Amino acid sequence: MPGTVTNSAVRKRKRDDAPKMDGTKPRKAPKTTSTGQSTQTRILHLEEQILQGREHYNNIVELQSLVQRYEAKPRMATLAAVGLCRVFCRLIAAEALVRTGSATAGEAQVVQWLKGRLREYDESLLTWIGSPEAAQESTSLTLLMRIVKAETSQGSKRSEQAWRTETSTFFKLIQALLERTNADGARQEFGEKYADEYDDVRFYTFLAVKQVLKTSSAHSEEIVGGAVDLLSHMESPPDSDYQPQTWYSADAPSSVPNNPLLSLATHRKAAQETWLAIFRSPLTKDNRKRLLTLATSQILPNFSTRLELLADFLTDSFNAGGSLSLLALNSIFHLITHQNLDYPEFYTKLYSLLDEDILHSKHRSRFFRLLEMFLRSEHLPAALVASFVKRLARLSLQAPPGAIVWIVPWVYNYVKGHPSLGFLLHRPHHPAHRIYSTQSKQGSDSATMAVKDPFNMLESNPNITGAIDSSLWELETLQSHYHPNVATLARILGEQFTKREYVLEDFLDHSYASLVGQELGREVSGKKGVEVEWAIPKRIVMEEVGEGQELNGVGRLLTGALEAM
Amino acid sequence: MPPSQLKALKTRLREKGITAPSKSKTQRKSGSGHANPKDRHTALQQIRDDFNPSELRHVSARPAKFPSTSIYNSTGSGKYAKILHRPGVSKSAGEDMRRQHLLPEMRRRNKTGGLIDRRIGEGDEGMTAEQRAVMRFTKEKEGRRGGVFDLEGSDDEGGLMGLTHGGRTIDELEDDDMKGSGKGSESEDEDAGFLVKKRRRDEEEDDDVEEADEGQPDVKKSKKEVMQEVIAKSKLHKYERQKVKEDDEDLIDKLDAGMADLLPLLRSQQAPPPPSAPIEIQPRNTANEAGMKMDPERQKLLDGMDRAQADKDYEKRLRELAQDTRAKPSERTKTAEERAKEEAERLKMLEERRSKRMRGEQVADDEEEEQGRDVDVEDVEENAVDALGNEEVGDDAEEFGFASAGVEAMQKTREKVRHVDEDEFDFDADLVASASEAELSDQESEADDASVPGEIMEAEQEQDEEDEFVNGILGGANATPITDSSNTTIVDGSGALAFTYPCPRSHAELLSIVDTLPVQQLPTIIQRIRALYHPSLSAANKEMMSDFSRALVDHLAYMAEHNQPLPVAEQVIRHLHSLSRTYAIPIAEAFRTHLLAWHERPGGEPSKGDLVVLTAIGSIYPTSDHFHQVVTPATTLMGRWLAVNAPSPGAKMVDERRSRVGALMVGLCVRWQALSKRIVPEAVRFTLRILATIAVTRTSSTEVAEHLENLTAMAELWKDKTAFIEIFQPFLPILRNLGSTATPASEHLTTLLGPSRQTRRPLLLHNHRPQPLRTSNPKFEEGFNPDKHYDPDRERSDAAKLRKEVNREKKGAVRELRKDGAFVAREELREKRERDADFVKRERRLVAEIAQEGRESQGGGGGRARGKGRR
Repeated sequence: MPGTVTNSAVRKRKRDDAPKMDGTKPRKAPKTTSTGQSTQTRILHLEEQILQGREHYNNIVELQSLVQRYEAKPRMATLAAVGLCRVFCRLIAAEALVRTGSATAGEAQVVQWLKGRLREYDESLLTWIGSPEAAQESTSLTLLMRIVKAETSQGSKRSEQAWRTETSTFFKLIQALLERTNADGARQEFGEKYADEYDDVRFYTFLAVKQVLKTSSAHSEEIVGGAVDLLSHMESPPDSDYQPQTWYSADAPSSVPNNPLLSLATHRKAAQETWLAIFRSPLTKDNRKRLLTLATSQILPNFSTRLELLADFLTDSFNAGGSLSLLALNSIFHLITHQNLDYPEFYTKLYSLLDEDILHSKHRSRFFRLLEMFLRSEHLPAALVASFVKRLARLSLQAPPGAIVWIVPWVYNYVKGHPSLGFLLHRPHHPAHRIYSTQSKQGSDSATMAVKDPFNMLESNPNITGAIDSSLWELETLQSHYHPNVATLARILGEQFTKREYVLEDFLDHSYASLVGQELGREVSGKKGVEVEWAIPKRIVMEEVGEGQELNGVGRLLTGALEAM
Repeated sequence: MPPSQLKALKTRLREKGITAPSKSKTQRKSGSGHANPKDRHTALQQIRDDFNPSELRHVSARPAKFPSTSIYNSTGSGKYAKILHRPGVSKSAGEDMRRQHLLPEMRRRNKTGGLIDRRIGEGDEGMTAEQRAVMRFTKEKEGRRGGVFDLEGSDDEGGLMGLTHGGRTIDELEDDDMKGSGKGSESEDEDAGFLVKKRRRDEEEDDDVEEADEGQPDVKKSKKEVMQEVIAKSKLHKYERQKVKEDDEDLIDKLDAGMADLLPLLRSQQAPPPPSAPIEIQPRNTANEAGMKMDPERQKLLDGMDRAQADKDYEKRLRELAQDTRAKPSERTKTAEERAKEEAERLKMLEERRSKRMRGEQVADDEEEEQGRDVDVEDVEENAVDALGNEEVGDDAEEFGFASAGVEAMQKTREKVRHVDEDEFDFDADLVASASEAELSDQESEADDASVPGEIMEAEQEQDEEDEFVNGILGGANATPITDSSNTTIVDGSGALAFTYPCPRSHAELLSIVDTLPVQQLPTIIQRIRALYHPSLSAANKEMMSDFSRALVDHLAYMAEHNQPLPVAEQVIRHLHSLSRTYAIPIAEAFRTHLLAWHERPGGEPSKGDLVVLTAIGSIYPTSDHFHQVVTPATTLMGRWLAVNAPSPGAKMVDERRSRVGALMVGLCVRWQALSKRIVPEAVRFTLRILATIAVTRTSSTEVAEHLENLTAMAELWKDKTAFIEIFQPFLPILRNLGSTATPASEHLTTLLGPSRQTRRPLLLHNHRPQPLRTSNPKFEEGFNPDKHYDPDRERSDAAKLRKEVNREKKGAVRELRKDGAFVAREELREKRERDADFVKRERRLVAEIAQEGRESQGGGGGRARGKGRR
């Protein structure tokens, strides 16, 4: 038994402990009373004793047993855990867990035993992570990180080991954070408190995450989810002129010259590797969405060398269609504009995104914002912009008011920016216009001849849709939209373009809820009164057929609806 | 040779009348002289200016600007009128000012300590010496007033309790007795003597009595005197006032006495005079007999009537008089053509207003009022109803629309009413008769058509309208007998239906009434409640009815929730419609509350009640308006539901509920836009999607029929829109898939699409007149003044003005500082010179003294030295 060994070892080495042996006696007394207060003092006492000498190391076992009984006595377990953490920290600091070359077999055994206890303690704390209790989770995270601190503060070589080896507390902590699906709180706390604050924690977290992804194969989707979640809580990497300087471990790497940790490039490389590892692992749709939302802010800056891999990932996501492509768009555009990525047919793909559902999707405002950004350049060919304008106009015929409200000022701005688009709104008769010339062969009087819309909705290439030769009848029709505000807004296209441009941001976030809520939130104005139809109809849902009565059109519909409900 | 300056001056002074040959005393007293010192001053100034021409500088500091263009400078009448500058004067003033302020400051420089002058007003620049003196004087006075033995002070409060002598106050004695008599105490004597003397002096100097009266009495008169005077004056005024008042009251009494005679005359149009009137008259008569003219009201007041009550009575009377209806000429009976023409005009006006609202333009207010008074198409008997003075009842009832069965009965009533002339008593009797008649017909119709429920409904409804019309008046006049009779009749017909109800003011109250009764009776109950609590009967009814209308809206939704028959709901809607004329806002609010509840319901699903509410909204409110407080939110909510519930393209089955509700909403949307032809994109999308899904899944044909009907209606509605092709083209392939059921719709669409393709032209939206460039500068002004700035940019001109002002101030400040500096330097130099002179003087004296001493010492002991010096 390790316990016996300890005692014998103590007797051998520490003679000056002998007078303090009396301390064991009062220990017995509180043990008999099991009230909360006495248990608390006992824990403190036990802790004190352990620090006094090796002969009391068995107290660790006792405390550990307390720690494991969290369900029964949560407060005691927490206290014991805190006490044990203190004990281990001191032991580690006193190098009691290091096997020195000159150690005897007995000492080696003690060290081995202590390591075993530490591992046991770690394990029990790790089980706390992912528990529904936030306090418990937070406590275990804090305690574990304190042990990590102790472990990584014992000289450069050993601390390096403590960061990296798979048996170290840090590694196990990261593993637990990734594996537990419901450890969101702990992940967030870890990200905010440690990884963001300390450069070394961030660095080694990246390494550990990569390692975990590499080693674990089972439940990899959950692990990837955890990894994405953990990394999303870490702030974006520092600027390019940032010098890593905050260290979690006590012996800072800054004391050692040429330490790789000191250069930002190493950090970035680690991050990049980790992200690539995540890209390679199987991704669920949700994870992919999260990754894409993170892409511009947190992933892109880390990629300095292997952009093509990121681009591949983004392209894959884009091709997946739906909301994923929408999310990928932004990152791709960023790569094109900032990293000089060559992305063929970007606008064709963008154009293909304009389908019926985009105006009804909940990502509408996000898409509009991006669309505005992508098309803002006045160097784009007018034909291309016209295709977008015409297509959006066509879609707006079945769009909710919230979308139309944005489309109209958007069209205004682009007509203002590309004067040749003015023909979409005003095309006086001239044989040079294609819309007239196609018809002139058939009839003699071309002015009275019918015209055919040259716009081809099915054409996927926005450069050749023929929209530039068309006319925006759709938006003209929307001038009689049922909602008064929308109709009034649509009328701006028919008035003189005196305003320089509309601030589109103001038109973005309108929805049914805002339209209705705005109107119904207002009081009925008593001043103007409420108009009432002057004639009271004789029949509303009924109609007279011969002698009797029958339901009329509305009545039939209403009865049908009422029956179906 | 011109005369000497002195002589010239003398002559000038004499000319101006400033120095005159000395006059005798009498002359001076009667003569005018220079009474006004101001005139004298100006005259002197003028003379001074004439004699010192170099002291004036006529030239303005500004150089003359553009004499040919400026209309102001040449005449000197404008903004910069010619100013006489007196550089000498201003310079010396500045110098004085500096000497006064800067010099002490300069002297005090680098010194600490000293005296602080705490006298009142000392060191206060804003006070003249005079003000300072006054302040000090008043302060001193105040300090003295508090004295315990201050006899004068005590007079103020004591009034008549002042000192007396021989039963008379001292003031009375003062003039004659006090002077000579040595009886008074020493101090008193002294005081009085002093006062007298003082007054004498005043009189001598200035025999203006008035001034003594209103000037400073504390100096010239004793307080007591003043108070006496004041008291006497106020007594006089009081007496005068009382006298005037008495005269007035006499006059009023005279008028009041006549009032009692006049009142019955004034109110001859009214019903029998209020019971208080004879009592009023009684005392008046007695009073008249007694020869005393006394207003009855006043008499009552004297008899001990409450003052507040009297006031109230008076107010009431006044209001009655004010509101008294004046006699109006009765309207002449119009011919049929005239009526038709009027009707046509009215309809035209209504339609105009509607289309104006549809275009979103403002409708003028006066028109609105007119519309409020407007009556319906079927209102043939307009005049008669007006004569009744109960327009609103007539209005509402008529506009409900009367169908064949009840018309005759109604016609009879109407005719009778029309024959009645203005007399009130006849009128009442007639109404009673018509009521009984109505009941008779009620019985008849119910007995006849009991088998057909729809008929019963209709008949009942018509009778109800009549009932409402009739009961509205009866309920107010004498309800009890009618109540009995009607109760019995109705019990025979259709079960226990009370005639009177408490007005339900909430939905719960309404339910408590309605729940136990058959649903079919609901319109009757509403009818009766409306009649019983018609606003013309009592002021409180208005509020009650508005609450009742709200409850009715709630009940409409409730009825739908509980699957009560639609025909009844229809009647309720029509009631609400007619109530909306009067209680538009409460009802609109109630509808909006329902819409809001739907809007906020999670999922946005409408309840059954909401569907009926939507139907009601479409019927009650003009849906063609550009903006309407109820219709617009309702349409938007329907649009939202249609947008959210349109089946996705790959849907494999059709939810029946969704399909039916959607069909209703699309149907409503289409009907609401029947006039304004506005586009509802969501309806198009929903119909397209649902038809596509049906084409795939092949569901029941009734639903397809509904949607196809909607589609056809939409196509018909929007066939003139430029984007018609774009909207309806996508339907064609789907209709083809639907097979034979859709062929008519498909054909219809195709036929509509043809002309649309033919007529469509490219847009020509911008046929605007080119906008002229804005020209703001230069602008040509009439009467241009180069001194003025004509900057159209207000901000810029303001900034320029400010800048200029700052510049001027800065320059002025610099100039002042420079002058200050020069002054200081000059003063310092002067002081230095004085010091030096002093020093030289002293030195000289000392030297002289030393020399003297030397001489003396030489003279005394050392003549040698002197001798040496001499040598």
